[in-house]
Amino acid sequence: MRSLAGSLIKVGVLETFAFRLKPLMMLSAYPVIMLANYCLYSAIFKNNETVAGYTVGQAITYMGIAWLLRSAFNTQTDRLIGSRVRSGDIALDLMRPIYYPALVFWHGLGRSMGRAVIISVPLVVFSATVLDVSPPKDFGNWAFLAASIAIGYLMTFSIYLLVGIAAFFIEYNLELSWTVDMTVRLLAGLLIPLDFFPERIASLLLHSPFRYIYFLPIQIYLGRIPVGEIIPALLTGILWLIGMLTLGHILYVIGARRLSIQGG
Amino acid sequence: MKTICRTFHLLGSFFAQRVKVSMAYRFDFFISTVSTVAFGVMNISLLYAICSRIPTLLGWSFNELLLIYGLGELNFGVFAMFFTFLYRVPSLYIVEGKLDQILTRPAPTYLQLAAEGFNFKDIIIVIKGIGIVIYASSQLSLDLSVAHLLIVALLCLSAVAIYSSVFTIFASLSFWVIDRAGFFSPLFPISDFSRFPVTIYPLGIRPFLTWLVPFAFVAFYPATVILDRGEFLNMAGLAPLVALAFVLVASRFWRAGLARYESTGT
Repeated sequence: MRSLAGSLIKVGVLETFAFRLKPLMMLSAYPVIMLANYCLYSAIFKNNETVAGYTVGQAITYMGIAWLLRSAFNTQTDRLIGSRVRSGDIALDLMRPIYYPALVFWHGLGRSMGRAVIISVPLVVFSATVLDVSPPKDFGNWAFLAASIAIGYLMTFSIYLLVGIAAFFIEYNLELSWTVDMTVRLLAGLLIPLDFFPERIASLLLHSPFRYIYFLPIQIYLGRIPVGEIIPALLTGILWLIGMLTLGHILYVIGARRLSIQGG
Repeated sequence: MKTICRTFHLLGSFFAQRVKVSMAYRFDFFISTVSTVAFGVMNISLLYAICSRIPTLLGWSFNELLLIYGLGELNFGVFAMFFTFLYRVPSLYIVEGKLDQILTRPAPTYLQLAAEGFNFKDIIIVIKGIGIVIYASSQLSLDLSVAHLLIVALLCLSAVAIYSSVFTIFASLSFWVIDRAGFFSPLFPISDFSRFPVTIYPLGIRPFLTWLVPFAFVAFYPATVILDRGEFLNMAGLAPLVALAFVLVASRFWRAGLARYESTGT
């Protein structure tokens, strides 16, 4: 089992390096986004010491770390599943004696690792030098930070899984994957810190599962959460994960059966 | 003259047919609408969140920012209806070779691709843009004369020309570096961020957005005409010239790329 996971990871990593132009193109978009965000936040804070409880340094660091995380999280495995359903290759995947969602997970992990090397590492250098993104507030919290990032990653994976499995049921559409991605970006705190929103909206957003993807890890990174609140938050996150993965499993079982009846 | 008339006639029938085809795929249309709305909600929420916390963004109010965004969407939508075939140039037309088929026909290649790739669905983006502009204008109680509107129309036309020429240049690059992915990735974030006042960008970056990838002219400068922000009118007036320059450059790039494609054989 270990070697299987390992080889799947390897496939994912190698895949990222296989295409010459695509990784470069992926890399090129991030500095543009990060630089533009830097300018935007600098403008927001131009006449204000603090906005929504953030200093300009915190806001810029927030944005830098958010996109850094995204560069590794964004494996687009939902599109992978969708295209394999479309091409019919999904039949090969389902025939294998492996639990398909696990296969997707390990493959995705490989992709993330590949992306981390090609995209995230240069971005770290870029952020630290050009953009002035600060290091973590408190290195003592590193365990919590790691845990929250892991939960964020798994949450991203479960969303990809759910959207990908939707392809088992409906005509898969790139725009569907795109729409979900856009919505999650906003709700997860990638585009803007969730507490920038006015009170009523913010209180809703701060209870959604999506905050675990970007918002929570970054709050821990910035040291804006008292330690006492971190643990309950992480536990709630794990509960959300269990719920989403269970849903994913159920849909997968129903969907796979449906496909094998239809496809033959 | 006769060939021009004939070309337009052909294009007209192509477009009409495409409209009929896209209406047939209603689920597709539905998803497009949902995604466009989702996009809009996302971007507007962002502006709303920012503006709820600070009085103005460097002197620009929420409704002004909304107007810039709406105008940008409107222009992008028109571009999207006619020119998104460019996204498929590196993959479908070059790598998969569909361009060869097109080259055998006696009509101009670019126009053929445009006719094939006419994307009526994206009229939703245009409608969204118009809606946002109308809403924002009403909130701002603007005083617009017919002259104003005509100038804005001209600037919007320039904006579409700029979008299409920049994307054509980037599409043409695929004639030299052949890869399915194409070079478009950085253009989308640049386009997204050009929906903010160009004043938020420091003097080091502004020339880039004005002269190199002139997306400052696709939303911001035209909007300043509507918003009657006098200090930007000089720049806004340059839009048609910049558009013309870029159209010329793009057509050179495209022709050169096509020539290269033909000479390297199939």
